[in-house]
Amino acid sequence: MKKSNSDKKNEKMIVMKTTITKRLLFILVPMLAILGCSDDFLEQTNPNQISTETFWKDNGDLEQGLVASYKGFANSNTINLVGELARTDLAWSSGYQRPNNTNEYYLQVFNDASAVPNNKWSANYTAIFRANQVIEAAAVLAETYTTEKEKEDGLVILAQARFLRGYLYFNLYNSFNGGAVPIYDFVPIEESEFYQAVSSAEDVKKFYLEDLKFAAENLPTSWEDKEKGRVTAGAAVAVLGQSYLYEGDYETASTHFKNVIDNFGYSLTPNIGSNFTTMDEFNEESILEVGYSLDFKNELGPWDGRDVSNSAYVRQFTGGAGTWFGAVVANWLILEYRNDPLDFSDPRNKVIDEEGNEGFRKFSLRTSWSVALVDDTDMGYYLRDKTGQASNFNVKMTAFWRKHTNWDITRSEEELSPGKVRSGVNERLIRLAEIYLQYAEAQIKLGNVDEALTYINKVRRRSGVQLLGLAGTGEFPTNDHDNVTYDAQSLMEHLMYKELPLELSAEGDGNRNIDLRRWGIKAERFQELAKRRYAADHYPLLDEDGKEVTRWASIVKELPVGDPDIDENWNEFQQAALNYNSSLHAYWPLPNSEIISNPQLNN
Amino acid sequence: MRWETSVSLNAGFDMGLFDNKLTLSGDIYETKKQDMLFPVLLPPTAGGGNNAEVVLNVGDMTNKGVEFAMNYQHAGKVSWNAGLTYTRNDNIITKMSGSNKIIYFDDSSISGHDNDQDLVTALAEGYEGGAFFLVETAGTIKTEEELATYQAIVPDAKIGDLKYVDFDKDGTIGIGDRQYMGSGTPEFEMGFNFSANYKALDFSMQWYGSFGAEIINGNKALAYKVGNHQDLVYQWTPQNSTSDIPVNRNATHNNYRGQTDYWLDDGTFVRLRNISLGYTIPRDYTEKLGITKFRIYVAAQNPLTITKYDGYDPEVGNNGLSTRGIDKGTYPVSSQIRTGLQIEF
Repeated sequence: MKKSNSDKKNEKMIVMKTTITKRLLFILVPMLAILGCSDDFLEQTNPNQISTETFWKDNGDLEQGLVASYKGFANSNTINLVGELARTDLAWSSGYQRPNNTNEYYLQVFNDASAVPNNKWSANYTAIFRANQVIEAAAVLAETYTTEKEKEDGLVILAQARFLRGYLYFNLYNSFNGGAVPIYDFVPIEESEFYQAVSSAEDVKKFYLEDLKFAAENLPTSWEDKEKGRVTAGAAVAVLGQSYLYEGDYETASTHFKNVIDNFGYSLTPNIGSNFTTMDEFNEESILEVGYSLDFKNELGPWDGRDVSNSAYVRQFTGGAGTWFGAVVANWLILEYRNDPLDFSDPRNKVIDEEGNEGFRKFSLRTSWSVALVDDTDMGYYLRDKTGQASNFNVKMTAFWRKHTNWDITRSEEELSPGKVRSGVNERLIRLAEIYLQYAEAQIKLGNVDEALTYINKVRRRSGVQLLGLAGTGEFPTNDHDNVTYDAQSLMEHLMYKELPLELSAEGDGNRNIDLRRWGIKAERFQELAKRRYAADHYPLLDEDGKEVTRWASIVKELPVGDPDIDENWNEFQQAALNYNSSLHAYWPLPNSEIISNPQLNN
Repeated sequence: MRWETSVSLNAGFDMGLFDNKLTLSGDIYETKKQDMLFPVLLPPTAGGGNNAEVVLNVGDMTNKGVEFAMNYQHAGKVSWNAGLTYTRNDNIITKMSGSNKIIYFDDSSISGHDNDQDLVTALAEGYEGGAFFLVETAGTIKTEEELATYQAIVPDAKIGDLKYVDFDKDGTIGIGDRQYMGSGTPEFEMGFNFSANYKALDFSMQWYGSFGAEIINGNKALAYKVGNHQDLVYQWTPQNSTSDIPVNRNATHNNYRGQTDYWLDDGTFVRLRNISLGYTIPRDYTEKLGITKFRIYVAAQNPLTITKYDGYDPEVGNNGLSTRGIDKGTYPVSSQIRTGLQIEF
């Protein structure tokens, strides 16, 4: 077909146009190249990388940021329980056979270069940085919400992030430098923002209280199914209560604790053991709990930061194969556990022995579920019938915490997680029994000894332990009582040296150290414990194959000073008593990793 | 963030005198870096964890230096050749532009021990890059009176502990007590080559000297920390009360921390790198056997090092700035003595 005239004309025009464009291009391109060569032209956002400009677009992004914050919170270094425990009166922490001990925390010779304060500091601030990103982004996003649902979801995410930040600052406040630490309520961007001075302890407290109050008002009271493990309003109120208790504001503390006890649907689990292992996680007693699991991320190598299990505690605490002896029960506490008196009216304390004779448990349920004692014949350990069969109980480290370990589901930790150090045991940071006892403390201070007794006895009764107070009195008059009249002072003594350690030793967020500090008794406590003298008895038993074996020096006993049978190698807290200096050791020092990199720290 | 700029000035000469028997060459240079890009160590509070870094324009730096070389060749019955080199580089941080005026390097801990977190090298205005900032120490605490005075500064000090010097006089020991203590960069370096031939004998040697650098003996610190250094036999004890070797309390105790000058040593050394002496059997004899060259020699590599450094090897090297001069288990150079036959057909 022949092209029409107009087509030809058009063609010509196009040719003309292109030549003109081409000529123009010859002139324009070099000009643009020269003119366009400003710095901005060279600064490009990498499209393959997520940046703050492309992220934080909706609640889905917020939720992802929140997950990262939870992951930071779940880093076991935020608490570092073993390190915290080592510097209290509850544990012998060494790793070596007695009497050798080079553990700087146990000996109270740590300083700003020590690993625990450095790691704890960094873990807390990393999680705070993540929470701050969510909090900042939530504020920006709040303007863009169009539906009620979006708004509500955004608020709940914000409340969770603020709880986490508040709790982490609560943790820092109680751990470091008398409570004076730098406050970050923003995401640092400019160079100068990376260096923040410490704020006064008062300001830090005010700051975290704001966060926790906001969380208490805006968080749900519970979560369902897969959402379990997220933080709740009850947890926020509980932490608020603890904060007031630690400050000595017993009135306000009591109000908060009572609120937790009455209004959030918590109750003590029938078995105290539900709070220590993978058994019954996220139960009715749990208030703040960090979830860990062995079911995911199995493909990762050992010690991978992305793992969702907890690798920090299990080998330190276990008494079974592959133990690192990171922290074993202190002698005085072993004796308290051994002597935790039974409530003979409780049918759970009745046992029928191999010959069919009816008798009573050797140790209280609380003792049996909390610690492994060589002669505990009523409870197995690492799937052996008798505790004494699962470990040698030698080297003068003879009582292990069952908490944080998997003694109830495997024959050894190695078997459960071959080639790796992992555990799926959730960390219960706050449980109702702790709130009961802290409420009791506040009540004692307010002069309400009966109210305090009621709550202490609730805790004791749950574990079939003899109740306190005169026989036939109290909430449970038919249960056995110790028939002692308590006043504020004697009950407080009982709480400090018996009830709290027996119920909550080696648990939670390391609060034994906070307690000893605020009661002002830490130095005396070490001095007093350093005077005690011990020796140990041997224990014969039948091993799994029915062979007779002896667990040498496995049952520790206290002896009066001067007794010829004393074995000085069992002494404890000798160095701690000499070295402990409250101005240096009551709190962790500001760590040297911060001091060296932050010129503004003390300005 | 801006681009880093670098301006270099350079001048040099080459001279040959006396029929090129004597040659001289020299170079003089100055390089100015502006807005130097550098990884800055962030405090853990900024949220990146321990030892997080971000690259920023930290400031300006100048390198000035000279390089001279001289060589003399002599031909004659004894023919010989001698060469001397001299290099000097003055590095200085002229400006720190950020709000942090002293930036420590994240990898500048000295021993590699688990609990060794003290960093020692830094960028700071007025000093060379990678300068050491350390707390001065003054021996051990030997008497009760000394202890009582010192406890005013360090309340948990015990007799036999290492005594830190309160440099900033603020009544405590802190980051302000660190002072400039040199660096792993030598003030100047020299080299000397010599070779000579006399009849069938040949001789050559090569010397190298590094002057004015400091070394931090991290090996020693590690051995102290784990408690197996031979010095510890002579540590302070009530029976050995004049010893300046502090008591072994534990690895992170102030006594054995990386932040002190206790591990600092003079790193000046002169080393004989190579030396060889050879004898070539005259060709008349060997040619009958179809051999063009038959030489017997004795040679040695690093046979001699003159230094006050008490570690294995003063030639620590390491990377550019951050670990320069830190002997963190640097594998020492070996010294060898060889004898050999050289046969060419």
